[in-house]
Amino acid sequence: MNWRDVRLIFDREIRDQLRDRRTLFMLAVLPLLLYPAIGVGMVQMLALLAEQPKTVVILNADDLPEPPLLDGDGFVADWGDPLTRGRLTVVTDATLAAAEDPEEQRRQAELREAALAVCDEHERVKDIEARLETEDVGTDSGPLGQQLAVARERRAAAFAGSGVDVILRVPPGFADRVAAVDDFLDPEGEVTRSAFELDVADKPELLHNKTDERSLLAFVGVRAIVETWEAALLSRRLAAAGLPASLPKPIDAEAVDLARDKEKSASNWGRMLPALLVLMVVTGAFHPAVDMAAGEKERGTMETLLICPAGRTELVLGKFFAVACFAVGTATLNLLSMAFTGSHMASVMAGAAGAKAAAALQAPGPEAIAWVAVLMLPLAVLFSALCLSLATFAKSTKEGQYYLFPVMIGTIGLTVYCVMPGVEIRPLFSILPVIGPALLLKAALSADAAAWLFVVPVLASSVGYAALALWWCVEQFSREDVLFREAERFEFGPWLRHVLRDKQDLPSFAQAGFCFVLIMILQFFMMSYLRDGLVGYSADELPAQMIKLLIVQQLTVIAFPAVLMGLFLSRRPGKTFRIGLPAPRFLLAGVVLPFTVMPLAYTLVHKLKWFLGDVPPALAEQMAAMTSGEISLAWSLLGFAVAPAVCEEVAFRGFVLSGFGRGGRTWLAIGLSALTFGLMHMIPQQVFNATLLGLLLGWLAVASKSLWPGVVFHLLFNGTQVLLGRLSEEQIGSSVPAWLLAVEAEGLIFGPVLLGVCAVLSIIVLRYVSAPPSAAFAPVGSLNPDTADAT
Amino acid sequence: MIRVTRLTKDFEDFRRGPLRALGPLDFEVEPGEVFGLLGPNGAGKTTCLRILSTVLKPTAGRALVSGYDVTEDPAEVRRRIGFMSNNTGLYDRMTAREMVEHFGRLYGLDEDRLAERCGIVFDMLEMGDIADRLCSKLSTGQRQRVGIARTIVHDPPVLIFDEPTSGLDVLVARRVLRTIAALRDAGKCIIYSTHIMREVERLCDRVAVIHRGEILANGSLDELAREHDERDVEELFFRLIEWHDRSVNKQGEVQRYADASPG
Repeated sequence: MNWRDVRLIFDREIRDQLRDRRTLFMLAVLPLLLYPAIGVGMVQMLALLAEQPKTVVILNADDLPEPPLLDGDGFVADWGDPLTRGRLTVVTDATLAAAEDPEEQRRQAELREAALAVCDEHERVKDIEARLETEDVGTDSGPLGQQLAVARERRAAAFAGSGVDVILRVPPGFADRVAAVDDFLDPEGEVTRSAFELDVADKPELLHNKTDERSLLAFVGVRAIVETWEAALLSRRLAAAGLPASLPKPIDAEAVDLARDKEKSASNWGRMLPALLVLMVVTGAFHPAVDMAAGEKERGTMETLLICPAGRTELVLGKFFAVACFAVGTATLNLLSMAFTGSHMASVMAGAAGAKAAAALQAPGPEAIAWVAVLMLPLAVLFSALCLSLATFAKSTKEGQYYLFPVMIGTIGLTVYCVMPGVEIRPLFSILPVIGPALLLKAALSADAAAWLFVVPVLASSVGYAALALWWCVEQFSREDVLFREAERFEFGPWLRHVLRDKQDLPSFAQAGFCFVLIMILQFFMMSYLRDGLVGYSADELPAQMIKLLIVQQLTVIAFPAVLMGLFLSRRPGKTFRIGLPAPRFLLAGVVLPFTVMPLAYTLVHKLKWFLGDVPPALAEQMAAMTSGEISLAWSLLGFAVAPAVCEEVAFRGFVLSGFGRGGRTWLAIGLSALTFGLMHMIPQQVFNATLLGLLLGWLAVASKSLWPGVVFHLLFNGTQVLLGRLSEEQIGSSVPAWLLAVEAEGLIFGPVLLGVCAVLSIIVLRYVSAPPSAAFAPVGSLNPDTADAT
Repeated sequence: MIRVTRLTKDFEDFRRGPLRALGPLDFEVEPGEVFGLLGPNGAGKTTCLRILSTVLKPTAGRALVSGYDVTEDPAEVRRRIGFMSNNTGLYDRMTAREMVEHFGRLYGLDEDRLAERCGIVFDMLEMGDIADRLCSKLSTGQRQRVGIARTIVHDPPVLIFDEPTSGLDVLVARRVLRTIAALRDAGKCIIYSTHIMREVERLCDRVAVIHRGEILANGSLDELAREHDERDVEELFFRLIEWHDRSVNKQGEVQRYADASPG
């Protein structure tokens, strides 16, 4: 590694970007202008919204009880704050009569008429609803139901066209009824009606439309006012009856929020910042990356750069550091500008509305800022590497820009998941890309003390992912077809002919990747079909049906695409699927290894429960049902051992492994085939387990040049698990000493002696298999399928 | 200095399948000579030069540059060549001086040597007046000069020019040719690709006529003229190409006939 060259490239790229006016504008000027502009806009919009008064029509206002609710064309000052009251104008019969301006008179009369019309429609709806209830029709679908739908439609239309935001409908004689209750309470009053009679009555109604923003705002205001007024009415009654004011609320627990203002703002930022940070970093990394890689190709300077003595790794690293700098710079500028605007607005609003909102927007404290700064780095590193790789692949800057969308959608999806309440950092999440840093930041900002535990895994895994992305980028820089991609007209026909005609002995890397993606997509779509396939079976039949569907899924979703692709996309399907017989010792390994590896793998997953989390209960139940003794052993073995052993091996150790390995990078192929094999299992615990086993299976397939040892291994491994699962606690307890194998609530516990023996045996078998029994056997140690096959 | 043996390059073509773009090719170039690659557009000249500059990897055959193999020691090869493609490959947002200095440093020159070399190169190419202007503001001819300066700043023993005069007016082209001749006189080993006969006549000590990836003739102009009994280079060039195309077509016909006839 020549760091001088890295430095030279880095310096040049930074200077180059800083000289580009568009980049500078996008990355630096825009954020500095954007947020203050948005802030100003928001303040103005708020003012505009506040200034537009909402119209409240009160029908039959004369029948409102004491104390007075209305004062002229507004509400009485006691029942609401000036801001709320100021937004509402009231139209009643009294205001109509008092209006002197004929224009105003006409307007109020129209509003009143419209409100009356709405009430008429409302009466009709209520009427039909009552009939539906008394006639007990049940569903809304009958002729009466249709009438109701029509009536509701008419009511909504009438309200929408009325120009009124809220209608307060006071039933006739309402004041009298309230007064009657007051009399009833008054020890000296005259009682005219019984207590129960008083309750059965028509109530006032607040007609509004929640989906209409104006109506909703007006409704919230009016309701608050009416509630205060009602409370006053109630306390007057209580006083009149000589009862304590606490009567209607005997408990009245007071909610005391102990959060400090600082914490409130931290928790708000904790929800917002991770998502913002990720988006800013992506934006900051993307445009410079496209300019530095795809732009260089487009301007014809790539070739000049490639013929200078600096190695590809140096070129990529220099560019990568430059991109990362811009990612960090952009994110910092954006966040600073945003925080400044936020705190400024908070102080403005503190003057106007109150301290509550201001506290929520208060700028985060120094500790939070430190966290953001620290976690910005892994994100910047990851996205810089990723963007640079994509941009290198792109032929032109235009093509590069196309990749922004999928990157954005992907990251937004991940960050939205992180922002969701209840999603917290845990060991597994800490090593996932994007999710790890985002959740750590969330935890740190909400002052979670456990956050410190995850700093190292998050940073380390992020660096690991970035290294992978960088490695991919260096790869791209070494590929002629990527560097000198010509503009080709894409036509499906010739392309298909090219794929089928110019195929090689083994499938390509891309085809192997596509096969995996296809399997995943098919699995995704099959899920709903599989669920449908379970409908209508009784609880007894269900497990058996599930097993049958499992077999169908293995055949159609996993084996079928791989076999089909293998037949059409490789010239030698036999070699692709490794159907040749292996040397006998590999078969022997396939028979012995499952029994020695199974306890180790089982125990490992068991010990890593803290990391991998628990299996979702619904799934665990399903698994238990399928492995229970209710299903015949034959079906169990067929579904859990035979079908996966054949189908998964054909797909992952056949097509996928051969494709990934065509370029001669055997260990990369084994690793990728294991990872895809693991990912196909979806559930974290199984993904982990299957990936580890995939490494072993992949190695077996490559070393033996045959699929069969893997099939045998897979069959016996899964078969043993099925059998162990069916044995009851007593059966195991009576036949095996507890220090060897015990059954406990959380599963099987293999004794340390047994594990030790298994480990030693596994190693012996592996060594025996990997070392040729005699020197006469030529290059078995060589793992390269191509060279090995050439003999 | 440059030794090319059985050099071959195949490309995957989307429409036509695997396609032989070049070779097998054999030629040698010695220090102090300009070797011309003369061929029509699409003959494989650029592919050949890209292999020599290690940007493309040959499918088969070998190419040695200053004793280093282009596939085995690409870094050593790159250190010893100066390559100028037909687009000048300049960074628009750098000045001419920055551009030349940047590449000088990438080629491992220390600051003293860099200053010395820049002085020599800028004088030689008369670039004093344009040294501090942004490359995007330069005319085509000026850009070409910066490109040459970038190519020779590290004083490489081997120089590769891929159609350096394409798109230049006569005056500038003449100047470029003079510069290259001066470099030859300074003992450089130069490959010069072009499709312009006049340049070959004026500049090249030896020439290979290349067409459809194959060398049709190779030697000094005198040798070629004697061999094919044609003193006019242009005539010679056309005849070689015509003759080659005719023989290829005939071969194709023979092949078709063989395919069609049973047994």
